[in-house]
Amino acid sequence: MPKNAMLIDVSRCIGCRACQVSCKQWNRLPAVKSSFAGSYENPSGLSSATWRYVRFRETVEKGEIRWRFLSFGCMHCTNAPCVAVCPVPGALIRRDDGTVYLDEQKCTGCKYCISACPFDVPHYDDAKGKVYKCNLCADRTGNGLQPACAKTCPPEAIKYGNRESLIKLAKTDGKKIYGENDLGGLSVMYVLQESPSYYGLPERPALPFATALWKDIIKPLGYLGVGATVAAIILHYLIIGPKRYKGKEGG
Amino acid sequence: MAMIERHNPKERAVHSIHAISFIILLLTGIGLYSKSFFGITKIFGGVDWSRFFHHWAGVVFIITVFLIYFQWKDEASVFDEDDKEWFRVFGGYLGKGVKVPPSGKFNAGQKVFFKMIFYAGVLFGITGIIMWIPQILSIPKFIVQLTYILHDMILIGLVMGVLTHVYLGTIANPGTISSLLTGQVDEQWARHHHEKWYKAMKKGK
Ligand code: HEM
Ligand code: SF4
Ligand code: SF4
Repeated sequence: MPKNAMLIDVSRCIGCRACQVSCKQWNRLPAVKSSFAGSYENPSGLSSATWRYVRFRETVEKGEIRWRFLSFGCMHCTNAPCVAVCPVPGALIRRDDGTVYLDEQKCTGCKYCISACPFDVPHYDDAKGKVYKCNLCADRTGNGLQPACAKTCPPEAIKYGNRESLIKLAKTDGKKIYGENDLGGLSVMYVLQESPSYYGLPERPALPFATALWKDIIKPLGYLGVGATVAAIILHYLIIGPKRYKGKEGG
Repeated sequence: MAMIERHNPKERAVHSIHAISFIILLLTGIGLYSKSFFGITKIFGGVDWSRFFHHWAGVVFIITVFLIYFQWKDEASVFDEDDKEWFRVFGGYLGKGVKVPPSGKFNAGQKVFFKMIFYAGVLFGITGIIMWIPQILSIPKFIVQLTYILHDMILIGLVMGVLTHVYLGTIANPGTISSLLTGQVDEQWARHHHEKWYKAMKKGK
């Protein structure tokens, strides 16, 4: 289990987007041009330049407007599917403190991680040819500081600290935690007010089936198939041998 | 030793470019197959260059797949009764001194490989382009995941096929490789391996 984690209690969130802004500021990410789509949500999703954003769920129930907010970014999975598929050693690694770190210098932009992430987190930057996502402010936490979003959140909806104590604290308050054990335990967990799918989160996040098939079945079968072919060729040469034509008539 | 022309310079050039682009694709692709092969990307100057060569060798490869198809389809895409018999005796490869029916320019096994290269090449191209620029084509994630599986399955099947092809074209059948190097083969070789083609060539002269 990872040592540290972030716990986001959405019932405390006031939708102020301070996390979103402080993330941009600390990571020096440019603003993204967005357009109005009938919601206060802005921008409408993560991108290579937006690593945290607040998802708005605006519904009308019995004539009353109901607002729900979800501060969303990388979930820093323990058994992270993105790490499992990244072909470049060191480009995408899981650290013991719980951070899933994407090294911009090493990433080659193959986009394998994009296809594997159950949360649609990594995004490709066409101009830079690389993939970007939240690094849980590794440059801050490495120096004993909190991630920028947690530090900024006015109602303290985002808390960062020792994973065990965060879980214990939430449980003593009788709260249900999203992501405690999924994918080996997420390092970003939620206390939600509605079902996960209401917020666009997978109910049971897991390694996508096709990704597991690709990495764990097809690739090993490849070694088997090629090995068997080479063995068959060697055996054929030794036992049956080449077809000589010299001195023979017809076929 | 009397010689006869088997492949003209154009045919040989197409095959050579096809084969070289395949080898480049294999070497540049394999560096991404598993982290344990990552070192291979150094040959091409790092993973970014390796991928660059993979993409553009892929474009060359897919063009030559079609060139090969059109240059040999008349001889390689029609099967006759002798070919059925050829399959029945496995081309004589599973024993010594097996009686093998006469073949045209290509034997039945070569015709199967010809088909395999064409379909594999087209599928390689389709899956490869999806893997290359999924964001531009807005391909759903599920399809992208499937293309990785397909690209690898074609790869595995094709490497198995090409290894066999290279073996059969070199040490398993002495005298064959000169058809690619000089274009000429020994007439005795031609009569032994491709009797119907040999007779037709002789008649034509
Ligand atoms: C038209 C032909 C092809 C195209 C367009 C193509 C394209 C691609 C692309 C885009 C990738 C993803 C990695 C990256 O972005 O660099 C890839 C991976 C790969 N390709 Fe190809 N490719 C083609 C043919 C081939 C051939 C002929 C081979 C083998 C001889 C091959 C072997 C591989 C391998 C081993 C990988 C590693 C990734 C994996 O395990 O799936 N490719 N290819
Ligand atoms: S949420 Fe996605 S990008 Fe983040 S660690 Fe998990 S799989 Fe990787
Ligand atoms: S895009 Fe970058 S981080 Fe993602 S899998 Fe490829 S090399 Fe790794």
